[in-house]
Amino acid sequence: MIKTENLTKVYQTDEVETTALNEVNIEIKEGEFVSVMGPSGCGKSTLLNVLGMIDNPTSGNYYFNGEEIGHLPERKRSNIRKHNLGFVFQSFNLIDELTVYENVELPMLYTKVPSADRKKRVEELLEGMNIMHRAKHFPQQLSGGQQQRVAVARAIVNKPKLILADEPTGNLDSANGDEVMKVLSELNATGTTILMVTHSQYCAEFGNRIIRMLDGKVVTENVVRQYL
Amino acid sequence: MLKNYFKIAIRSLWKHRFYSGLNIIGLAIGLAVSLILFLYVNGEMTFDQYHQQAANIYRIVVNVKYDDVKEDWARVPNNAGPTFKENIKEVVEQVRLLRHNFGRDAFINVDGKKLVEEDLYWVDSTFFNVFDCKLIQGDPATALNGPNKIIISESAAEKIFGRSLALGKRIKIDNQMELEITGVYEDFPSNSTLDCGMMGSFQSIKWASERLTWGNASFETFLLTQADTKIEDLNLAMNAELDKAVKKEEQWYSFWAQPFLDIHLYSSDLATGGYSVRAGDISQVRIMSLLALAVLLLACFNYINMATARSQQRFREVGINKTLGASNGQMVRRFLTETGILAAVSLAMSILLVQICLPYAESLMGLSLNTFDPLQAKSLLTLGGLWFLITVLAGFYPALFLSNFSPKKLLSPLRKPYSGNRFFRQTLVVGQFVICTALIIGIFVFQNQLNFINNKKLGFKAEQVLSINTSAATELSQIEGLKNAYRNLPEVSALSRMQGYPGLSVSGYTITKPGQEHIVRGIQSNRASADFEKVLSLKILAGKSLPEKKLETDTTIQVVMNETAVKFFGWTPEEAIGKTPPGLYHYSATEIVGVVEDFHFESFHNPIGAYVFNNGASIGRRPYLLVKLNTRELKTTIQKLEAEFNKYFPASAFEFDFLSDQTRKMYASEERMAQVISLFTFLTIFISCLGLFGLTAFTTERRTKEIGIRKVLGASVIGIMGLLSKDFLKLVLIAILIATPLAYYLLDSWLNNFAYRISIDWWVFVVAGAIALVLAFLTVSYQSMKAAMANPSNSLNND
Repeated sequence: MIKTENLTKVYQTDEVETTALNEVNIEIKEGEFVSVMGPSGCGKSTLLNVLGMIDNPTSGNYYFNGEEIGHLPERKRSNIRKHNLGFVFQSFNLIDELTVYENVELPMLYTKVPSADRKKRVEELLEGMNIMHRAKHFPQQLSGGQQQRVAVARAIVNKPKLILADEPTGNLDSANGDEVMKVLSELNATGTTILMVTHSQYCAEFGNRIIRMLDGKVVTENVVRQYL
Repeated sequence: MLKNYFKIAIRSLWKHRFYSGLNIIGLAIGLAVSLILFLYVNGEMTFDQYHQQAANIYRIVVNVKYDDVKEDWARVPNNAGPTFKENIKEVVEQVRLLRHNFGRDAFINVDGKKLVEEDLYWVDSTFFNVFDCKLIQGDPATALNGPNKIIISESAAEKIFGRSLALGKRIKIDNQMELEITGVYEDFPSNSTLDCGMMGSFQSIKWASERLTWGNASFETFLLTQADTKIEDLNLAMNAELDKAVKKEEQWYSFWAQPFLDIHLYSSDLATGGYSVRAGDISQVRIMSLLALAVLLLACFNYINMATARSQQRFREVGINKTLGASNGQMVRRFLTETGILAAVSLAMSILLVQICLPYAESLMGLSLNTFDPLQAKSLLTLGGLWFLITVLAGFYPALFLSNFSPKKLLSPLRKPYSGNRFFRQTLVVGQFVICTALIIGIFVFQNQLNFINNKKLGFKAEQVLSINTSAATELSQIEGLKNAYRNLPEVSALSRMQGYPGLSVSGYTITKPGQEHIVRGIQSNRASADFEKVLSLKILAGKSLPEKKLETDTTIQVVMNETAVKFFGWTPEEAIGKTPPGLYHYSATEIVGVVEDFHFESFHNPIGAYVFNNGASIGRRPYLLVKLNTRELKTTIQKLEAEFNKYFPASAFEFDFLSDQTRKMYASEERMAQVISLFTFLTIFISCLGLFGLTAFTTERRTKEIGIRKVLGASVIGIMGLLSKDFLKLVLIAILIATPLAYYLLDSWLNNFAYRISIDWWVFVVAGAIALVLAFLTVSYQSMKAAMANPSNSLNND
């Protein structure tokens, strides 16, 4: 599903040139759950940005489903993004002005899903996440774990092929963190590919492969478990 | 999707109600002011358009030449209209208007009632063929087609007769003429230059209708022309007629035609205007439009400033939406929706404000504005347009700016607080304060010029001088009796009968240079009796005043001229005494008996011209008795004067004016302008400070943590306030530097309209700048003090 060839990202600020990604070559197959680990500043988030198509690589190639998309203009990337990708953030990034229901519904507005289908899908997901009773609440009124479940629901509402999660449990206590990881594992079990950046070895092991990064490079790849 | 935009926009506006409130108040005030000014401008621009034939009507103007002076007069000889109609094929109709006694009030006796009519005109019977004027009673074909007929306005009819029929009633004017009411017409609308309250038939005034001349330019004359008439052809044809009638070397003027629709706004350059007092001024319309635009822009600047300043919070939202698949266009629409809602709320509030403020605005501007009905189709269109304009003007830049945010920053671990386009915001703040400071400077200069006018020696004293209208006298004995009675009052120190007084127009004549008869200049002639110089406190430079008594056998006209007049002759005041002023009164026997010091008989817009007081019986009527009082007990004195007046004029109302009021009227438009500008300045400062307030609130909010850290490290409250205020005050300083030359240039050119003007003092700029700085400082300091005084633990725990 994902393949990178010498993917490189260089940030240029006034006087400093920072190489966030240095010739990264990885491959992620459909249905995998890959965790990315590494110390702060190693390039994890940059990798997620580039793979999530919200940033362009400086050089190298990025193949998504066999198509080179690393150098597409924003409009085209946006189009691929909204139909194929879902994002889960450490800080949830729910829209404060929208209710739980409306937050989950939002991506479907951008993909022009008919109203009746939207309603059905949102309700189905909120039931599944066990937060239907909170549908009319605003994000500030929920606990962290509930907020992240809403964020996950929003990420998968368009049935994306790939979910990109950036420290999804970083702002949660262990109980809530476990719950979110359980949800992600279940999603993966139903065939959704997941790429997750994390600091936590415990969480990383929910995946079936761990990529470790240092200074913009992939240093090791461990297989946690093989799919049968 | 639109529903979604609405939902987010409304909730977001509510969530940030402090900033929304500031924006709405600013926008609502800006919109209300622009709406009121729009009403004014619209009213002025559509003046007189209701006449069906308006586009084919012209007013004849004469261009008068003498010396090196060239003047335009909107009143022309009574021969012009009829001759042009007769001989110029393009002229379909003509109508002449003569205001009763050149603008004096008429005393009316009708149905046993005494009243004063200010707007009595004498008009040709062709009036109805040229102008739209609907007779409610009477027949337009016969209403004015003979002497001693009069038609009255609907409101006058209601006032006098109530519900009973006015037609056929007899009306007495100034106790001299008796006319029959032959019609009642619908009142002229407020956007009509024609302001006649009553119209008598032209033929009722024998001297005007029977003695046709090319000399006495007293008649406002309108021509109705064929639709395809070219104005150049008309001008040529009119002057060709003049050439036929008057020898080239005797011509002292030429004709030109002024389109009827230009009269209201483009007549302020005429030295003598038409008779209507409903005159507008295009420069005033322009200034008002500019001010309206400025206030509107200021309010929009506020919105732009606050919207981009709060971009930090907005970027997160944009980032999320974009990762979820929103396009730039969708984000632009979402933010424009928010602006649109805010603009709509502001507009609704401004409509309410307009309804409340309209009467005050009218009295402030001294105008009657059209009532504002927001439900009218035209108003709805205007409001819709205004809403769209505001939404785009205020919303477009922030929408573009915000929606441009790249979502990658949302995930970036190195996410730096991004404060948006700071330079742009600073420019807008500078722009706002440039306008504010320039307006403050403007207030000072306006006020100084007005003070200068009020304090400058007018050359005469208007204080405690009363002018009493005695037009109603039928016998000389009435006036003589009244004069004697007033002389016996201890409160009266001097009195004199006069044709007019400073601020009123008198008669225009010409004088020629001795020995050079082709050099001609105009002179204002005022028929007066003895003691006029005591009443007006004029200084006699040579000779004496007009004689108290004049023998009936004495046919020589005695005159007292002003310095400017004798200077034109090339004489000193002493040399002038006993001489005959060349050319005056068409070379009648005239003797200069005295010379007075120059005085300002017109406003300071005009340099002092030649002026003469005379006692020629045939030179003009003297409707005024001017009384100089020596007491401050005005109320009881006026009661005494009225009691005496009623003894000698039992049939007339006691009408009087203070001369000082009259002279003040000469500067009414400047005073009004000063008031309007003051109000505008206040509003612009208010709106700008509102914006600054919001911006500081935002900055302090953003720097809360920094402030906390600084305080923990030992910064003082004053130090923190300085830190937060410094940035804004710098901007205001830059604004002052820009505003100073700009204001100087604009105000200097305004002052050039005055023949007598102040120079702009340097301190004006210093004081205005200081005011702007202090206001900005006060606005900023509330927020910065709040932040500086806060307990640092609060701000540090915030993160």
